[in-house]
Amino acid sequence: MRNTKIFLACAGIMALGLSACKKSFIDKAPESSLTTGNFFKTANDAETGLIGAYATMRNGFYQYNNLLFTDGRSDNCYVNGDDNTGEWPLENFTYSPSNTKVGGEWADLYNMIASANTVLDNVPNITDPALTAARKNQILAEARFLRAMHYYWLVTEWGPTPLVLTTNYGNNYTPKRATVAEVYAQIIADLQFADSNLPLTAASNDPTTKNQIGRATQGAADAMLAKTYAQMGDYTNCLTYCNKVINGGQYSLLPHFANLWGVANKNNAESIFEIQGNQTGTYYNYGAEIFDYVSSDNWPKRNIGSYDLIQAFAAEGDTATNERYHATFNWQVANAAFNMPLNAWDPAKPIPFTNKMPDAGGFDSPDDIELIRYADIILLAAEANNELGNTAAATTELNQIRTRAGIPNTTATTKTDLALAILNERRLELVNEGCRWHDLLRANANGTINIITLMNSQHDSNGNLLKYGSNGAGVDQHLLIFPMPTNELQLNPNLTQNPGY
Amino acid sequence: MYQLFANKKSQILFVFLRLFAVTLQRLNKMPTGIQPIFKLLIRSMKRKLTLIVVLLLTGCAFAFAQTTVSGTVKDDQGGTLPGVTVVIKGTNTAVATDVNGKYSISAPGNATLIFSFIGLNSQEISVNNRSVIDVAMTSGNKQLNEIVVVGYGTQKKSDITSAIATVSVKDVSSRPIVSPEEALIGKAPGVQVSIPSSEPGHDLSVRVRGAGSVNGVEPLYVVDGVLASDIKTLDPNSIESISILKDASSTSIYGAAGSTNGVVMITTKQGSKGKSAIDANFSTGVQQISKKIPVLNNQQWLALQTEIDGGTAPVIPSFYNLNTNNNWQDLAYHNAMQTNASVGVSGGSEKGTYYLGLGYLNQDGIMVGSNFDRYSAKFSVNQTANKWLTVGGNINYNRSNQRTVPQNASAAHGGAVIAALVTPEYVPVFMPATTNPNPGYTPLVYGYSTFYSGDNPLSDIYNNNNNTIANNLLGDTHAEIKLPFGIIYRSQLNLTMENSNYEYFLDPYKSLNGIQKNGSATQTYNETTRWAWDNTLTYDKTIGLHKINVVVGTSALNEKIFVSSQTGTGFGSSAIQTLNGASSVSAPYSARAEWATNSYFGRATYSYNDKYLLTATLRADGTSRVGFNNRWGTFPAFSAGWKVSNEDFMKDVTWIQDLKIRGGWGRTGNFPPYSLLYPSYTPLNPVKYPFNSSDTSTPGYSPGGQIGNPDLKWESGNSTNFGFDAGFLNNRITITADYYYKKVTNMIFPQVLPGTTGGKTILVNLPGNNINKGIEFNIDGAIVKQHDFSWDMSLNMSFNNNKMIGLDSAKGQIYYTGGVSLGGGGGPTTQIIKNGYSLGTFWGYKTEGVDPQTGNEKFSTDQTNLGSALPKFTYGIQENLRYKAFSLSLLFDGVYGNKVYDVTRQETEQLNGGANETAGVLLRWEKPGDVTSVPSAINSPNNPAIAFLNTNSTSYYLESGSFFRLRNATLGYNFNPDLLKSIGIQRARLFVTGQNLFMVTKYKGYTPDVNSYGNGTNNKPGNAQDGGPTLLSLGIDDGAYPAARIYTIGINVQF
Repeated sequence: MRNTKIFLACAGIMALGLSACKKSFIDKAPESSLTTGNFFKTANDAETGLIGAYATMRNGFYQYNNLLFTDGRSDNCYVNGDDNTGEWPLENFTYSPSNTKVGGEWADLYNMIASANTVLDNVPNITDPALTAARKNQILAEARFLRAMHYYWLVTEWGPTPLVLTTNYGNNYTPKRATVAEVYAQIIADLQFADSNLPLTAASNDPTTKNQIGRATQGAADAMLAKTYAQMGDYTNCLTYCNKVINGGQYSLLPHFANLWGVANKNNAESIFEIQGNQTGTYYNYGAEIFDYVSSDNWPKRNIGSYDLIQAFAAEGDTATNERYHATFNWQVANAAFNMPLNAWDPAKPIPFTNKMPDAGGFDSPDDIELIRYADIILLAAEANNELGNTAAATTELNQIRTRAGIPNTTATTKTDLALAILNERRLELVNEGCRWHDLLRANANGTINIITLMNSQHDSNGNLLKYGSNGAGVDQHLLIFPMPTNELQLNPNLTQNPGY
Repeated sequence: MYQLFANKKSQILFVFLRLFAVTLQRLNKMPTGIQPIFKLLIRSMKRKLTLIVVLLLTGCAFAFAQTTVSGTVKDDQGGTLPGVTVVIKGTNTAVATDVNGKYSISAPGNATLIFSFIGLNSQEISVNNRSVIDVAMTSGNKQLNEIVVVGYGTQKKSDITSAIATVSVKDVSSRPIVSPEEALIGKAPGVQVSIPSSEPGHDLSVRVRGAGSVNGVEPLYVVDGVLASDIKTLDPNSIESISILKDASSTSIYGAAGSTNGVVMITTKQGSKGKSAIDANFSTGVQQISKKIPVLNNQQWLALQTEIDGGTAPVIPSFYNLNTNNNWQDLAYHNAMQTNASVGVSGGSEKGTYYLGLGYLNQDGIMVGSNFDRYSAKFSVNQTANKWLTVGGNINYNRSNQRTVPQNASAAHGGAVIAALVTPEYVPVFMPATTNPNPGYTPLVYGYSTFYSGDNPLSDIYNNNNNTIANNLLGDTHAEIKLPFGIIYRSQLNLTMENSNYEYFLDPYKSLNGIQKNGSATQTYNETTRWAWDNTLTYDKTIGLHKINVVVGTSALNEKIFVSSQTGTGFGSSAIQTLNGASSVSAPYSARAEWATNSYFGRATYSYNDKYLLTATLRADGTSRVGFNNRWGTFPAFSAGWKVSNEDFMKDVTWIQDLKIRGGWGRTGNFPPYSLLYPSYTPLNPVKYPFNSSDTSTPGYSPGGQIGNPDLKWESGNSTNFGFDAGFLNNRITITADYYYKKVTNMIFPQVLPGTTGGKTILVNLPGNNINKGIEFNIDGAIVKQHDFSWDMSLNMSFNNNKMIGLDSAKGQIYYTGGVSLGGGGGPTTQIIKNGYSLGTFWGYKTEGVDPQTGNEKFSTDQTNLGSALPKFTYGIQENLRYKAFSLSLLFDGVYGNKVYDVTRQETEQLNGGANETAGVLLRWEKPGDVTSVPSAINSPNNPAIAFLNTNSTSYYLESGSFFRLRNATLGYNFNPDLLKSIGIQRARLFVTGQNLFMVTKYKGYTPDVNSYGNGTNNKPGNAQDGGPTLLSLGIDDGAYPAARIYTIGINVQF
């Protein structure tokens, strides 16, 4: 009898031991790190997840590498720099599939896309009533705007690229490339969703409305739509969205070009979308330090203005008025051992450093980084009008910019001349704002110029021809888009290389 | 206490206390003020205890009438046996035989006497009113009658059907072993113990049957049934026995807990019934560096530097004096003391037993400034509460203080071992105070050289304060209940708690580095708490010729880990070394992690007629550590044995006594590495964004570098084992031999995903296998077995072959490991994990000799396999000789066929100038026609061949790691028990020991038995939340702390 009791007691204890084995006991979720498993449950999670998509933009791509890819690679600037395996080839058109910038920035852009996709995957499933349907759509629209902008860069720099639209990879980590048209279609779809769901402006800084300055707006989506359509060669739609920005009344040209730059002029009336930096907090933009002349820095600065660019400024009278020219360049004698490619400038004499982020301070610059500016859209509208035969409108828009820069109206009258004048104006107005390479590609496509001839006729400050291309063979068609990175080809058997690499 | 007095142990207590006091007084760190207090304490205790004992003894004498039983105890050779314990069964009354083997005891006429002696079979004899009982103790089949601890139970060694090695640890206290793993060195086939660093308090590395996982090769430790990630909790003196489960048929009962690398079962000392004893051990010794590496003197350095500078003699700043000849190895290494004291008090009645142990270790390192001390306490109790209930528990606790010196780093990164080789001899200990003002000169700080970056070793040692205080607790409580039908229910609750507090301080004024940083301090706290609850039912039954034993059980385990760390800089004074003295504190970090496992398991063994043996095991584990789509896994095992010698046809075979053939198969598992405890989840990183360029940023989260894999499984190992045990010539020679084949599948690797995922990594189970196969054997022989003289010898040898197969190297499944840091920056990776190669394969350029015309080293064009860090075979030889009261034991061990990458030499033979170099460079090429193995230094900063040598992994720095060493030699003397008896001592033994007395090796560095990557990986609780796993890196000597030769004298006393 007693034994039976003991037996029962023990059986009970055993059972207790077993009951500890119910599923929850071995179902542990991280306590000190948020994961996609324990996050994205509440309205607040949706907001902070979206912050992540913005915050990843403060990486090397939008802070400076995009400028190496466009202004640096093009005739605007010499890439310069001390990274002679990654950055010099961008200047010299000797980039190979194993180039570290080509590979690194590809991954950077997809990393930002993954941040946006994380929001897009998870926010729709949040059932927290605190998250209104309207705000939910806004959040998705902000994320889709960011994703579209990242794809815009991928498709313009690398050509046909894989379209990754979710982080639920379903064990498929090796996507095939989409066609350029498919990528553009996705960008347009994302931006149109953004356009119809974003507020017109982000004028307030009230955290409760989540409508702070720095977020994507309808204006930003329209501007990106205009830029994207332009790149696609669809000037009709381009003009539609340019005009939407222009007629929306949210933006205006500042009276003085110099007032666009520096910590005192952040988020001004001309700014459509810019990466935010703060003045006394901990989140500075380090990109400014890469370009700006800082007397104590003993390393080469990137994107020194090219001899050709300085000549272009002089030809338009900019050097005389000094309104735009002064804000664009900071002429200094280099206080560093310079690796100037092919001695494009004499390092013993003053050379034109970038001056558009003038508050560099030891990688702690509080400067914002301008990504889309109203003047860009006005000039884009001029370009579209000209291409569509609206010469008068194009001339007016071009002169708007010239007037502000303090130079006389354009003398161009024919469509062809005007196209060249607009292209040139964009060049001078938007130095180191990440536009030039794309402008040249467009102009090449619509027959305004021949980009290959242009790039093969670049000179150093002594008037000597710069020998671009592998072994000085010159720039050719295949170099207009970057190769797929070697590393990617190894990791992804479904990826194919661009022709010519 | 009663027991102690009744057994006339009171005087002994005094002797012990005195000994302990003397011991403590000798420890130079003891404040002199304590000594008088201690004396006073002893004096007062002595007076009181004597009184009590006299009273008690009087009381006992009149308590009951007794008959006196006496007799002589002899061994199986006919010699008399002193020191045999004679206990009256069921009482606490015990005596020991005298020097002539005689005993006399008062016992009731119906009592039973138990005769026991370590190493011999115990005997129980009924008195039956006799007054004289002579006994012959036997040692026959002692090895095969040994009880071996296996998973969730014990087995007779003769009934075991799997591969289990047992290690005798009775010599642990008779030689100065400081860590439990050390007891395994050279002792068991298939078990390789290496010493990654000889720094006091450093972990040792144990490998059972090769390398069973790319994520870590350490075995699972089980201490008194408690699963432990390591055994630093234990004072080796408290260990009773160690058995090592090597094949899957023995380890699969531990399932996925990491057992593809074997299981080391440790049983700690317990009291025994009817016998009380006090064991005290004390040893003290001196350690010295076993080898110094010759370096260049000032003139030789000047000559080298001149060559490097293309013939121009370097301009030595005036604040250096070339007549200063600081031999930095002499300054950095010293003869270091090591003191070890332990005492164990044990005893028991019919109702229960207890063991109480205290231990103290103080070990100075041979490198000045390094020290380790450890205070340990152990308590075990077992009590029979009533007819059906037994309860008990164990507690092992220790606290250690460790001061480490920086090692495993280049001089530019503060590694003191390399700094002691590359600091030129003209560099002063401290820079002189008065000198002409000179740019770049800082007076009164630790000496530095303007020719290279890096402080002198004394600066690394004294100017950087690295202290760790650790508390370790490992214990259990258990209850056993006898149920009907002979079923025993056991419930055991286990607890391990480990915490450590690491504090670092860099003086702001005494070194260039310190001045530059204005001082710096770091504090890191780690805490790991683990509980487990095991419940088992055991059924043991013999029906005729059928013997059945069944164990079934459940186990639940939960571990919580907490890590916090913070760093501060800007110290105005070195008076405050904690973080509140820092003017700015940065990078605070804290994190918690947790994991749990639930298990069901069972084992059945069946034997028929003691001839045919069968064992079957099954374990099912569910754990949080794998992906949630694969939570549960099962681990089966089977094995069988045939005792051939018990067959009728063997009756007439006289030359062989025991022969058993065994074979088995089983499956075990490894958890994913600790660095990723939640592999299913994609972590999000905290980020911020300042909308409106606001000064307050808005916090947010973005995806981290890892993508979760909810399908991740454990690594799974299938292993097959065949072996036999045989005893010849009356079991004077016993042989155990095994062949094994261990195949690990579902290997866990970090896979770098395409950039389209954002350049992330994921933990995956790769197709392919890690295969270890080998042969191992052990031979024990009693060569001479006479009364006055005996000679035992034991030899073990293990051959292991490791290979990775089925990895798709074409798909980029190539993993580079063993990244070393050279000079001030990064360095090459030295090892590779690749299809077709062994783990630990060194990968690099083959050197093809120095061109006699140019003086440049020639290299192969492609990187290639340069050899493996895993040895082809390892071996150990143990010799035990006894002549009368003297005994001599020798332990040799060795490895053969492995390579060591000597980064230390890559640092010290750079031929690149600035730093001092080792004397090897004296052989360098100097003019065309020189035939030598050392390249030219002429104008080396502009010589691509030298740059190549210094920045790549090449066979130039790869050396043979084979060695043969005399690990231990101990000469002991047993005092005559007769003489000891008068002072109440049962047994006393004096010994002198030499460790690492010699090593035969071609290795050019300090010692080949090292690894700057410690155990090879960082797969430990402290690395929880680290992110990605660290794959195995073995056999890399990057300024590892050198080994010591140790001379010790000690005494073991039993009261």
